[in-house]
Amino acid sequence: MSEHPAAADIADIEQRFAAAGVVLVPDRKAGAVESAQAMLAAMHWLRQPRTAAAEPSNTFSLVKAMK
Amino acid sequence: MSISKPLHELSIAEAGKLLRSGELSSRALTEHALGRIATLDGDLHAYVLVTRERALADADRADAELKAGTDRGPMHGIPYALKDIYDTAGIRTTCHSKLRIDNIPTEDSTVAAKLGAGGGVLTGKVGTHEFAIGGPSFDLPFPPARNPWNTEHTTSGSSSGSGAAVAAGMVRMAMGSDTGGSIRGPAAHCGIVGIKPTYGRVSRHGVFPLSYTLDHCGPLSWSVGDAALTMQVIAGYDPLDPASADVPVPDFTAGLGRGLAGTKIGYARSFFIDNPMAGAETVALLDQAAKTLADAGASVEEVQLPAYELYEACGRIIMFAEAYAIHEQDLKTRPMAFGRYTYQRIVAGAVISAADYIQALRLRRELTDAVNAVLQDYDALLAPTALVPALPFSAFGTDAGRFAGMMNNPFNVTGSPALALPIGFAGNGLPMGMQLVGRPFEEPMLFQIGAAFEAAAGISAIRPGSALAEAA
Repeated sequence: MSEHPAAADIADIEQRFAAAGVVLVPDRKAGAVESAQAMLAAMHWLRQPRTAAAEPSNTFSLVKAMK
Repeated sequence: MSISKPLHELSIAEAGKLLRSGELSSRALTEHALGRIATLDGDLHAYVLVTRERALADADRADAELKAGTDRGPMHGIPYALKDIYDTAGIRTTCHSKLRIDNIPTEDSTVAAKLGAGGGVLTGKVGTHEFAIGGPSFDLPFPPARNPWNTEHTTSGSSSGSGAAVAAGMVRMAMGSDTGGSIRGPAAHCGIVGIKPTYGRVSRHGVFPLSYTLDHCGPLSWSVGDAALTMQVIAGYDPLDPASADVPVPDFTAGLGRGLAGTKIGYARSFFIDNPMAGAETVALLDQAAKTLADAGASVEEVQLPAYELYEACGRIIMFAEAYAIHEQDLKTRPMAFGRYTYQRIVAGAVISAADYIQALRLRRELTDAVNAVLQDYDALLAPTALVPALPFSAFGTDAGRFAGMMNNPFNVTGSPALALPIGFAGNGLPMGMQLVGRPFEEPMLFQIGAAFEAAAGISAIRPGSALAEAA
Protein backbone atom coordinates (compact mmCIF):
# COMPACT_ATOMS: atom_id res chain seq x y z
CA MET A 1 0.00 0.00 0.00
CA SER A 2 1.28 3.42 -0.90
CA GLU A 3 2.15 5.55 2.09
CA HIS A 4 0.99 8.71 0.33
CA PRO A 5 -2.02 8.39 -1.97
CA ALA A 6 -2.04 10.81 -4.88
CA ALA A 7 -4.27 13.84 -4.43
CA ALA A 8 -6.46 12.75 -7.37
CA ASP A 9 -6.95 9.35 -5.75
CA ILE A 10 -7.91 10.98 -2.48
CA ALA A 11 -10.44 13.23 -4.19
CA ASP A 12 -12.02 10.24 -5.94
CA ILE A 13 -12.13 8.25 -2.74
CA GLU A 14 -13.63 11.13 -0.79
CA GLN A 15 -16.28 11.46 -3.48
CA ARG A 16 -17.10 7.77 -3.18
CA PHE A 17 -17.43 8.01 0.59
CA ALA A 18 -19.68 11.05 0.22
CA ALA A 19 -21.85 9.25 -2.35
CA ALA A 20 -22.27 6.43 0.14
CA GLY A 21 -23.36 8.90 2.80
CA VAL A 22 -20.31 8.33 4.97
CA VAL A 23 -18.84 11.23 6.90
CA LEU A 24 -15.42 9.99 7.92
CA VAL A 25 -14.23 10.57 11.47
CA PRO A 26 -11.52 13.21 10.94
CA ASP A 27 -9.03 11.56 13.25
CA ARG A 28 -9.44 8.25 11.42
CA LYS A 29 -9.74 9.54 7.88
CA ALA A 30 -6.19 8.90 6.68
CA GLY A 31 -6.28 5.20 7.47
CA ALA A 32 -9.75 4.78 5.97
CA VAL A 33 -8.63 6.45 2.76
CA GLU A 34 -5.56 4.23 2.63
CA SER A 35 -7.69 1.11 3.07
CA ALA A 36 -10.00 2.28 0.30
CA GLN A 37 -7.11 3.11 -1.97
CA ALA A 38 -5.63 -0.36 -1.55
CA MET A 39 -8.95 -1.89 -2.55
CA LEU A 40 -9.45 0.32 -5.55
CA ALA A 41 -5.92 -0.37 -6.71
CA ALA A 42 -6.87 -4.02 -7.19
CA MET A 43 -10.07 -3.28 -9.13
CA HIS A 44 -8.45 -3.81 -12.53
CA TRP A 45 -8.20 -7.51 -11.76
CA LEU A 46 -12.00 -7.61 -11.77
CA ARG A 47 -12.38 -5.84 -15.08
CA GLN A 48 -10.72 -8.41 -17.32
CA PRO A 49 -12.71 -10.29 -20.01
CA ARG A 50 -14.98 -12.93 -18.53
CA THR A 51 -16.72 -15.91 -20.09
CA ALA A 52 -20.48 -15.97 -20.43
CA ALA A 53 -20.57 -18.65 -17.76
CA ALA A 54 -18.93 -16.33 -15.26
CA GLU A 55 -22.06 -14.92 -13.71
CA PRO A 56 -23.34 -15.00 -10.15
CA SER A 57 -26.73 -16.59 -10.81
CA ASN A 58 -27.53 -19.56 -8.64
CA THR A 59 -24.87 -18.65 -6.15
CA PHE A 60 -27.72 -19.27 -3.76
CA SER A 61 -29.78 -22.19 -4.98
CA LEU A 62 -33.47 -22.66 -4.28
CA VAL A 63 -33.16 -26.40 -4.78
CA LYS A 64 -32.74 -26.78 -1.04
CA ALA A 65 -35.98 -24.95 -0.34
CA MET A 66 -37.87 -27.35 -2.65
CA LYS A 67 -36.96 -30.39 -0.54
CA MET B 1 -3.37 -47.11 29.28
CA SER B 2 -1.49 -45.16 31.92
CA ILE B 3 -0.96 -41.41 31.98
CA SER B 4 2.66 -40.91 31.02
CA LYS B 5 2.65 -37.23 30.12
CA PRO B 6 1.20 -33.92 31.30
CA LEU B 7 -2.57 -33.83 30.89
CA HIS B 8 -2.49 -30.97 28.38
CA GLU B 9 -0.31 -33.09 26.10
CA LEU B 10 -2.97 -35.79 25.85
CA SER B 11 -4.68 -35.74 22.48
CA ILE B 12 -8.45 -35.66 22.44
CA ALA B 13 -8.43 -39.33 21.47
CA GLU B 14 -6.00 -40.25 24.26
CA ALA B 15 -7.93 -38.29 26.86
CA GLY B 16 -11.14 -39.87 25.62
CA LYS B 17 -9.79 -43.37 26.17
CA LEU B 18 -8.66 -42.51 29.69
CA LEU B 19 -12.00 -40.90 30.51
CA ARG B 20 -13.85 -43.99 29.35
CA SER B 21 -11.56 -46.39 31.20
CA GLY B 22 -11.95 -44.41 34.40
CA GLU B 23 -8.22 -43.70 34.66
CA LEU B 24 -8.86 -39.98 34.24
CA SER B 25 -11.78 -37.78 35.20
CA SER B 26 -13.05 -34.85 33.21
CA ARG B 27 -12.87 -32.82 36.43
CA ALA B 28 -9.12 -33.49 36.71
CA LEU B 29 -8.60 -32.67 33.04
CA THR B 30 -10.68 -29.52 33.38
CA GLU B 31 -8.99 -28.36 36.59
CA HIS B 32 -5.65 -28.84 34.83
CA ALA B 33 -6.85 -26.70 31.91
CA LEU B 34 -8.20 -24.02 34.26
CA GLY B 35 -4.89 -24.07 36.12
CA ARG B 36 -2.93 -23.46 32.94
CA ILE B 37 -5.30 -20.67 31.96
CA ALA B 38 -4.83 -19.05 35.39
CA THR B 39 -1.05 -19.38 35.16
CA LEU B 40 -0.51 -18.36 31.56
CA ASP B 41 -3.30 -16.05 30.52
CA GLY B 42 -1.99 -13.04 32.40
CA ASP B 43 0.74 -12.87 29.76
CA LEU B 44 -1.07 -14.29 26.76
CA HIS B 45 -4.55 -12.68 26.99
CA ALA B 46 -6.10 -15.56 25.08
CA TYR B 47 -9.34 -15.44 27.07
CA VAL B 48 -11.82 -12.60 27.36
CA LEU B 49 -13.97 -14.64 29.74
CA VAL B 50 -13.18 -17.81 31.70
CA THR B 51 -16.34 -19.77 32.51
CA ARG B 52 -14.86 -21.68 35.45
CA GLU B 53 -18.12 -22.68 37.13
CA ARG B 54 -19.69 -23.75 33.85
CA ALA B 55 -16.58 -25.76 33.02
CA LEU B 56 -16.56 -27.63 36.31
CA ALA B 57 -20.30 -28.31 36.04
CA ASP B 58 -19.83 -29.60 32.47
CA ALA B 59 -16.95 -31.79 33.69
CA ASP B 60 -18.87 -33.25 36.62
CA ARG B 61 -21.81 -34.02 34.34
CA ALA B 62 -19.49 -35.71 31.86
CA ASP B 63 -17.93 -37.81 34.60
CA ALA B 64 -21.34 -38.91 35.88
CA GLU B 65 -22.59 -39.73 32.40
CA LEU B 66 -19.52 -41.68 31.36
CA LYS B 67 -19.62 -43.59 34.63
CA ALA B 68 -23.26 -44.44 33.93
CA GLY B 69 -22.37 -45.66 30.44
CA THR B 70 -23.68 -42.66 28.49
CA ASP B 71 -21.22 -41.73 25.78
CA ARG B 72 -21.88 -38.48 23.91
CA GLY B 73 -19.00 -38.84 21.49
CA PRO B 74 -15.41 -37.74 21.04
CA MET B 75 -15.68 -34.37 22.82
CA HIS B 76 -17.37 -35.82 25.89
CA GLY B 77 -15.50 -34.48 28.92
CA ILE B 78 -12.95 -32.56 26.81
CA PRO B 79 -12.23 -28.88 27.65
CA TYR B 80 -12.51 -26.41 24.75
CA ALA B 81 -13.01 -22.70 24.09
CA LEU B 82 -15.10 -20.61 21.72
CA LYS B 83 -14.05 -17.53 19.80
CA ASP B 84 -16.05 -14.64 21.23
CA ILE B 85 -18.22 -14.28 18.14
CA TYR B 86 -20.03 -17.58 18.87
CA ASP B 87 -23.28 -16.97 20.71
CA THR B 88 -23.51 -18.72 24.05
CA ALA B 89 -26.79 -18.69 25.93
CA GLY B 90 -26.47 -16.68 29.11
CA ILE B 91 -22.77 -16.06 28.55
CA ARG B 92 -21.48 -12.69 27.31
CA THR B 93 -20.54 -12.64 23.63
CA THR B 94 -18.80 -9.39 22.72
CA CYS B 95 -17.08 -9.80 19.35
CA HIS B 96 -14.23 -8.09 21.26
CA SER B 97 -16.08 -4.81 20.71
CA LYS B 98 -17.50 -1.98 22.78
CA LEU B 99 -20.51 -2.20 20.50
CA ARG B 100 -21.51 -5.56 21.98
CA ILE B 101 -19.89 -5.40 25.38
CA ASP B 102 -23.18 -6.07 27.20
CA ASN B 103 -24.51 -8.63 24.73
CA ILE B 104 -25.74 -11.78 26.47
CA PRO B 105 -27.36 -14.10 23.93
CA THR B 106 -30.43 -16.07 24.86
CA GLU B 107 -29.54 -18.99 22.60
CA ASP B 108 -26.45 -20.96 21.73
CA SER B 109 -24.95 -20.83 18.27
CA THR B 110 -25.42 -24.16 16.54
CA VAL B 111 -21.76 -25.08 17.08
CA ALA B 112 -21.95 -24.24 20.79
CA ALA B 113 -25.13 -26.29 21.06
CA LYS B 114 -23.54 -29.26 19.29
CA LEU B 115 -20.45 -29.15 21.46
CA GLY B 116 -22.65 -28.89 24.54
CA ALA B 117 -24.84 -31.78 23.43
CA GLY B 118 -21.64 -33.69 22.71
CA GLY B 119 -20.56 -33.34 26.33
CA GLY B 120 -17.77 -30.83 25.76
CA VAL B 121 -16.48 -28.71 28.62
CA LEU B 122 -16.69 -24.99 27.88
CA THR B 123 -13.77 -23.22 29.54
CA GLY B 124 -14.64 -19.78 28.20
CA LYS B 125 -14.63 -17.30 25.38
CA VAL B 126 -11.38 -16.43 23.64
CA GLY B 127 -10.35 -13.16 22.05
CA THR B 128 -10.66 -12.12 18.43
CA HIS B 129 -9.76 -9.13 16.39
CA GLU B 130 -12.80 -6.88 16.71
CA PHE B 131 -15.68 -8.31 14.65
CA ALA B 132 -13.12 -10.80 13.29
CA ILE B 133 -11.35 -8.15 11.23
CA GLY B 134 -9.86 -5.32 13.26
CA GLY B 135 -6.23 -6.27 13.72
CA PRO B 136 -4.18 -6.35 16.91
CA SER B 137 -5.56 -3.30 18.68
CA PHE B 138 -5.07 -1.72 22.08
CA ASP B 139 -8.17 0.49 22.03
CA LEU B 140 -10.66 -2.34 22.55
CA PRO B 141 -12.32 -3.64 25.73
CA PHE B 142 -9.73 -6.43 26.00
CA PRO B 143 -6.04 -6.57 25.11
CA PRO B 144 -4.93 -8.53 22.04
CA ALA B 145 -3.78 -12.13 22.46
CA ARG B 146 -0.03 -12.67 22.45
CA ASN B 147 1.92 -15.41 20.74
CA PRO B 148 3.00 -18.20 23.12
CA TRP B 149 6.21 -18.64 21.12
CA ASN B 150 7.20 -15.04 21.75
CA THR B 151 4.85 -12.68 23.54
CA GLU B 152 6.25 -9.65 21.74
CA HIS B 153 4.65 -11.04 18.59
CA THR B 154 1.05 -11.27 17.47
CA THR B 155 -0.78 -14.54 16.97
CA SER B 156 -2.14 -13.37 13.61
CA GLY B 157 -5.88 -13.14 13.43
CA SER B 158 -8.62 -12.95 13.71
CA SER B 159 -8.98 -16.15 15.76
CA SER B 160 -6.18 -14.80 17.91
CA GLY B 161 -7.28 -16.08 21.30
CA SER B 162 -8.04 -19.49 19.83
CA GLY B 163 -4.51 -19.72 18.45
CA ALA B 164 -2.88 -18.62 21.69
CA ALA B 165 -5.03 -20.89 23.89
CA VAL B 166 -4.33 -24.02 21.85
CA ALA B 167 -0.64 -23.34 21.27
CA ALA B 168 -0.12 -22.72 25.00
CA GLY B 169 -1.83 -25.99 25.89
CA MET B 170 -4.71 -24.38 27.76
CA VAL B 171 -7.16 -26.42 25.68
CA ARG B 172 -6.67 -28.93 22.87
CA MET B 173 -9.29 -27.24 20.71
CA ALA B 174 -10.75 -23.80 20.30
CA MET B 175 -13.29 -22.79 17.69
CA GLY B 176 -12.36 -20.08 15.22
CA SER B 177 -13.82 -18.53 12.11
CA ASP B 178 -12.23 -17.93 8.73
CA THR B 179 -13.31 -15.29 6.21
CA GLY B 180 -9.93 -14.58 4.64
CA GLY B 181 -7.66 -16.84 6.66
CA SER B 182 -8.66 -16.21 10.26
CA ILE B 183 -8.33 -19.87 11.26
CA ARG B 184 -5.33 -20.72 9.09
CA GLY B 185 -3.33 -17.57 9.86
CA PRO B 186 -3.30 -18.08 13.64
CA ALA B 187 -2.70 -21.80 13.10
CA ALA B 188 0.35 -20.99 11.00
CA HIS B 189 1.71 -18.34 13.32
CA CYS B 190 1.08 -20.33 16.49
CA GLY B 191 2.42 -23.66 15.19
CA ILE B 192 -0.86 -25.57 15.42
CA VAL B 193 -3.50 -27.13 13.16
CA GLY B 194 -6.54 -25.33 11.76
CA ILE B 195 -9.22 -26.57 9.41
CA LYS B 196 -11.40 -24.28 7.34
CA PRO B 197 -14.05 -26.77 6.30
CA THR B 198 -15.93 -26.62 3.00
CA TYR B 199 -18.37 -23.70 2.85
CA GLY B 200 -21.64 -25.08 4.15
CA ARG B 201 -20.13 -27.98 6.10
CA VAL B 202 -20.29 -26.38 9.57
CA SER B 203 -23.17 -24.14 10.58
CA ARG B 204 -22.58 -20.43 11.00
CA HIS B 205 -25.90 -19.91 12.79
CA GLY B 206 -25.37 -17.74 15.85
CA VAL B 207 -21.87 -16.72 14.82
CA PHE B 208 -21.54 -12.99 14.20
CA PRO B 209 -20.94 -12.52 10.47
CA LEU B 210 -18.08 -10.70 8.82
CA SER B 211 -18.91 -11.60 5.22
CA TYR B 212 -21.90 -13.80 4.50
CA THR B 213 -20.51 -15.65 1.50
CA LEU B 214 -16.94 -16.03 2.74
CA ASP B 215 -17.41 -16.91 6.43
CA HIS B 216 -16.49 -20.42 7.55
CA CYS B 217 -16.48 -21.94 11.05
CA GLY B 218 -13.88 -24.46 12.12
CA PRO B 219 -11.55 -25.59 14.90
CA LEU B 220 -7.96 -24.78 15.76
CA SER B 221 -6.31 -27.70 17.50
CA TRP B 222 -3.02 -29.15 18.57
CA SER B 223 -3.10 -32.05 16.10
CA VAL B 224 -4.81 -33.28 12.96
CA GLY B 225 -6.53 -36.02 14.95
CA ASP B 226 -7.96 -33.45 17.37
CA ALA B 227 -9.35 -31.50 14.41
CA ALA B 228 -10.93 -34.58 12.83
CA LEU B 229 -12.65 -35.58 16.07
CA THR B 230 -13.96 -32.05 16.58
CA MET B 231 -15.37 -32.01 13.07
CA GLN B 232 -17.27 -35.19 13.87
CA VAL B 233 -19.18 -33.27 16.51
CA ILE B 234 -19.75 -29.91 14.81
CA ALA B 235 -20.37 -30.79 11.15
CA GLY B 236 -23.77 -31.30 9.58
CA TYR B 237 -26.73 -29.69 7.88
CA ASP B 238 -28.44 -26.88 9.77
CA PRO B 239 -31.65 -25.39 8.38
CA LEU B 240 -30.95 -22.27 10.46
CA ASP B 241 -27.89 -21.45 8.31
CA PRO B 242 -28.92 -20.38 4.80
CA ALA B 243 -25.56 -21.56 3.43
CA SER B 244 -25.63 -24.95 5.12
CA ALA B 245 -25.13 -27.88 2.77
CA ASP B 246 -27.50 -30.82 3.07
CA VAL B 247 -24.85 -33.47 2.48
CA PRO B 248 -23.91 -36.58 4.47
CA VAL B 249 -21.40 -36.23 7.30
CA PRO B 250 -18.50 -38.61 6.68
CA ASP B 251 -16.22 -40.30 9.18
CA PHE B 252 -13.57 -37.59 9.41
CA THR B 253 -11.14 -39.98 11.09
CA ALA B 254 -11.45 -42.68 8.42
CA GLY B 255 -8.15 -41.84 6.74
CA LEU B 256 -6.04 -41.23 9.84
CA GLY B 257 -3.10 -43.63 9.82
CA ARG B 258 -3.73 -44.75 6.26
CA GLY B 259 -0.59 -43.12 4.95
CA LEU B 260 0.03 -41.56 1.59
CA ALA B 261 0.38 -44.46 -0.82
CA GLY B 262 -1.56 -43.70 -3.98
CA THR B 263 -2.27 -40.07 -3.11
CA LYS B 264 -1.53 -37.26 -5.57
CA ILE B 265 -0.69 -33.78 -4.38
CA GLY B 266 -0.40 -30.70 -6.56
CA TYR B 267 2.18 -28.24 -5.31
CA ALA B 268 1.02 -24.70 -6.15
CA ARG B 269 4.58 -23.36 -6.15
CA SER B 270 3.96 -20.83 -8.90
CA PHE B 271 1.27 -19.33 -6.69
CA PHE B 272 3.85 -17.76 -4.40
CA ILE B 273 7.35 -18.17 -5.83
CA ASP B 274 7.43 -14.68 -7.38
CA ASN B 275 5.81 -13.01 -4.39
CA PRO B 276 8.34 -10.55 -2.93
CA MET B 277 7.36 -11.64 0.58
CA ALA B 278 8.44 -15.23 -0.12
CA GLY B 279 12.00 -15.29 1.18
CA ALA B 280 14.46 -18.12 0.66
CA GLU B 281 13.72 -19.46 4.13
CA THR B 282 9.99 -19.72 3.43
CA VAL B 283 10.48 -21.31 0.03
CA ALA B 284 12.91 -23.84 1.52
CA LEU B 285 10.40 -24.81 4.23
CA LEU B 286 7.58 -25.27 1.72
CA ASP B 287 9.83 -27.22 -0.67
CA GLN B 288 10.88 -29.41 2.24
CA ALA B 289 7.22 -30.01 3.14
CA ALA B 290 6.56 -31.14 -0.44
CA LYS B 291 9.59 -33.43 -0.24
CA THR B 292 8.43 -34.86 3.09
CA LEU B 293 5.09 -35.74 1.53
CA ALA B 294 6.83 -37.34 -1.47
CA ASP B 295 9.24 -39.26 0.75
CA ALA B 296 6.26 -40.56 2.72
CA GLY B 297 4.70 -42.00 -0.42
CA ALA B 298 2.66 -39.29 -2.12
CA SER B 299 3.07 -38.32 -5.74
CA VAL B 300 3.84 -34.60 -5.68
CA GLU B 301 3.80 -32.47 -8.83
CA GLU B 302 3.84 -28.74 -9.43
CA VAL B 303 0.54 -27.34 -10.68
CA GLN B 304 -0.58 -24.03 -12.13
CA LEU B 305 -3.42 -21.96 -10.74
CA PRO B 306 -4.69 -18.57 -11.92
CA ALA B 307 -2.64 -15.66 -10.57
CA TYR B 308 -2.88 -15.19 -6.83
CA GLU B 309 -3.69 -11.51 -7.33
CA LEU B 310 -7.00 -12.45 -8.95
CA TYR B 311 -8.08 -14.36 -5.86
CA GLU B 312 -6.86 -11.63 -3.56
CA ALA B 313 -8.75 -8.90 -5.38
CA CYS B 314 -11.89 -10.99 -5.70
CA GLY B 315 -11.98 -12.02 -2.06
CA ARG B 316 -11.14 -8.57 -0.78
CA ILE B 317 -13.91 -6.82 -2.71
CA ILE B 318 -16.52 -9.37 -1.67
CA MET B 319 -15.43 -9.32 1.96
CA PHE B 320 -15.36 -5.55 2.37
CA ALA B 321 -18.61 -5.00 0.48
CA GLU B 322 -20.41 -7.52 2.66
CA ALA B 323 -18.74 -6.38 5.89
CA TYR B 324 -19.69 -2.78 5.18
CA ALA B 325 -23.29 -3.81 4.54
CA ILE B 326 -23.38 -5.56 7.91
CA HIS B 327 -21.92 -2.64 9.86
CA GLU B 328 -23.15 0.32 7.78
CA GLN B 329 -25.61 1.66 10.33
CA ASP B 330 -23.16 1.58 13.25
CA LEU B 331 -20.34 3.01 11.13
CA LYS B 332 -22.52 6.00 10.32
CA THR B 333 -24.18 6.55 13.68
CA ARG B 334 -21.58 5.62 16.30
CA PRO B 335 -18.23 5.32 14.53
CA MET B 336 -16.19 5.95 17.66
CA ALA B 337 -17.57 2.79 19.26
CA PHE B 338 -15.41 0.81 16.81
CA GLY B 339 -11.73 0.38 17.41
CA ARG B 340 -9.57 2.52 15.16
CA TYR B 341 -8.32 -0.33 12.96
CA THR B 342 -11.75 -1.89 12.59
CA TYR B 343 -13.37 1.37 11.58
CA GLN B 344 -10.67 2.19 9.06
CA ARG B 345 -10.86 -1.21 7.43
CA ILE B 346 -14.60 -1.82 7.29
CA VAL B 347 -15.66 1.69 6.36
CA ALA B 348 -13.53 1.37 3.23
CA GLY B 349 -16.18 -1.00 1.90
CA ALA B 350 -18.37 2.05 1.30
CA VAL B 351 -16.37 2.93 -1.82
CA ILE B 352 -17.19 -0.35 -3.58
CA SER B 353 -19.85 0.03 -6.27
CA ALA B 354 -22.53 -2.48 -7.14
CA ALA B 355 -20.72 -3.14 -10.42
CA ASP B 356 -17.46 -3.84 -8.55
CA TYR B 357 -19.22 -6.38 -6.36
CA ILE B 358 -20.91 -8.11 -9.29
CA GLN B 359 -17.64 -8.30 -11.20
CA ALA B 360 -16.05 -9.92 -8.15
CA LEU B 361 -18.83 -12.51 -8.01
CA ARG B 362 -18.36 -13.27 -11.72
CA LEU B 363 -14.64 -13.70 -11.21
CA ARG B 364 -15.31 -15.86 -8.18
CA ARG B 365 -17.11 -18.43 -10.29
CA GLU B 366 -14.17 -18.65 -12.73
CA LEU B 367 -11.61 -18.95 -9.96
CA THR B 368 -13.61 -21.63 -8.18
CA ASP B 369 -13.96 -23.62 -11.37
CA ALA B 370 -10.21 -23.34 -11.97
CA VAL B 371 -9.30 -24.78 -8.57
CA ASN B 372 -11.83 -27.57 -8.85
CA ALA B 373 -10.56 -28.42 -12.35
CA VAL B 374 -7.02 -28.88 -11.01
CA LEU B 375 -8.38 -30.98 -8.16
CA GLN B 376 -9.87 -33.40 -10.69
CA ASP B 377 -6.35 -34.79 -11.01
CA TYR B 378 -5.09 -34.36 -7.46
CA ASP B 379 -6.27 -35.33 -4.00
CA ALA B 380 -5.04 -32.06 -2.53
CA LEU B 381 -3.11 -28.91 -3.31
CA LEU B 382 -0.16 -27.74 -1.22
CA ALA B 383 0.01 -23.96 -0.78
CA PRO B 384 1.41 -21.50 1.76
CA THR B 385 -0.63 -20.08 4.62
CA ALA B 386 1.70 -17.24 5.52
CA LEU B 387 4.89 -16.21 3.77
CA VAL B 388 6.34 -14.63 6.88
CA PRO B 389 6.26 -15.59 10.56
CA ALA B 390 4.17 -13.70 13.12
CA LEU B 391 4.88 -9.99 13.16
CA PRO B 392 5.86 -8.16 16.32
CA PHE B 393 3.28 -5.78 17.76
CA SER B 394 5.75 -3.00 17.09
CA ALA B 395 5.30 -3.54 13.34
CA PHE B 396 1.75 -2.21 13.52
CA GLY B 397 1.31 1.52 13.25
CA THR B 398 -1.51 3.67 14.50
CA ASP B 399 -3.60 3.28 11.35
CA ALA B 400 -4.97 0.20 9.63
CA GLY B 401 -2.66 -1.54 7.23
CA ARG B 402 -2.65 -4.79 5.33
CA PHE B 403 -1.45 -8.06 6.80
CA ALA B 404 1.10 -8.60 4.07
CA GLY B 405 2.31 -12.08 3.38
CA MET B 406 -0.88 -13.99 4.18
CA MET B 407 -2.10 -16.26 1.35
CA ASN B 408 -5.31 -17.77 2.66
CA ASN B 409 -8.14 -15.83 1.06
CA PRO B 410 -8.14 -17.76 -2.28
CA PHE B 411 -9.80 -20.72 -0.64
CA ASN B 412 -12.47 -18.60 1.01
CA VAL B 413 -13.25 -17.41 -2.50
CA THR B 414 -13.57 -21.01 -3.72
CA GLY B 415 -15.14 -22.39 -0.53
CA SER B 416 -12.69 -25.30 -0.65
CA PRO B 417 -11.74 -27.15 2.52
CA ALA B 418 -8.25 -26.14 3.65
CA LEU B 419 -6.16 -27.68 6.43
CA ALA B 420 -3.36 -25.57 7.92
CA LEU B 421 -0.38 -27.40 9.39
CA PRO B 422 2.96 -26.42 10.91
CA ILE B 423 5.97 -27.19 8.71
CA GLY B 424 8.90 -25.81 10.69
CA PHE B 425 10.42 -22.68 12.11
CA ALA B 426 11.79 -19.42 10.80
CA GLY B 427 15.23 -18.26 11.82
CA ASN B 428 13.73 -16.24 14.67
CA GLY B 429 12.24 -19.38 16.17
CA LEU B 430 8.63 -18.65 15.21
CA PRO B 431 6.50 -21.30 13.50
CA MET B 432 5.71 -21.43 9.80
CA GLY B 433 2.95 -23.36 8.06
CA MET B 434 1.34 -24.66 4.91
CA GLN B 435 -2.17 -25.54 3.86
CA LEU B 436 -3.60 -28.55 2.10
CA VAL B 437 -6.61 -27.71 -0.05
CA GLY B 438 -9.13 -30.34 -1.06
CA ARG B 439 -12.17 -31.01 -3.18
CA PRO B 440 -15.49 -29.77 -1.76
CA PHE B 441 -16.67 -31.91 1.16
CA GLU B 442 -13.57 -34.12 1.09
CA GLU B 443 -12.12 -33.11 4.44
CA PRO B 444 -11.32 -36.74 5.33
CA MET B 445 -8.72 -36.83 2.55
CA LEU B 446 -7.09 -33.68 3.96
CA PHE B 447 -6.99 -35.26 7.41
CA GLN B 448 -5.46 -38.42 5.93
CA ILE B 449 -2.70 -36.48 4.18
CA GLY B 450 -2.27 -34.06 7.08
CA ALA B 451 -1.90 -36.81 9.65
CA ALA B 452 0.68 -38.59 7.51
CA PHE B 453 2.64 -35.36 7.12
CA GLU B 454 2.37 -34.65 10.83
CA ALA B 455 3.79 -38.07 11.67
CA ALA B 456 6.59 -37.81 9.10
CA ALA B 457 7.63 -34.25 9.91
CA GLY B 458 7.39 -34.39 13.69
CA ILE B 459 6.88 -30.63 13.92
CA SER B 460 3.78 -30.77 16.11
CA ALA B 461 5.75 -32.40 18.91
CA ILE B 462 7.74 -29.18 19.35
CA ARG B 463 5.85 -26.82 21.66
CA PRO B 464 6.37 -23.26 22.89
CA GLY B 465 9.21 -22.59 25.31
CA SER B 466 10.24 -23.69 28.71
CA ALA B 467 8.17 -21.08 30.54
CA LEU B 468 5.04 -22.77 29.28
CA ALA B 469 6.35 -26.26 29.90
CA GLU B 470 6.98 -25.42 33.53
CA ALA B 471 3.50 -24.02 34.05
CA ALA B 472 0.68 -25.77 35.85
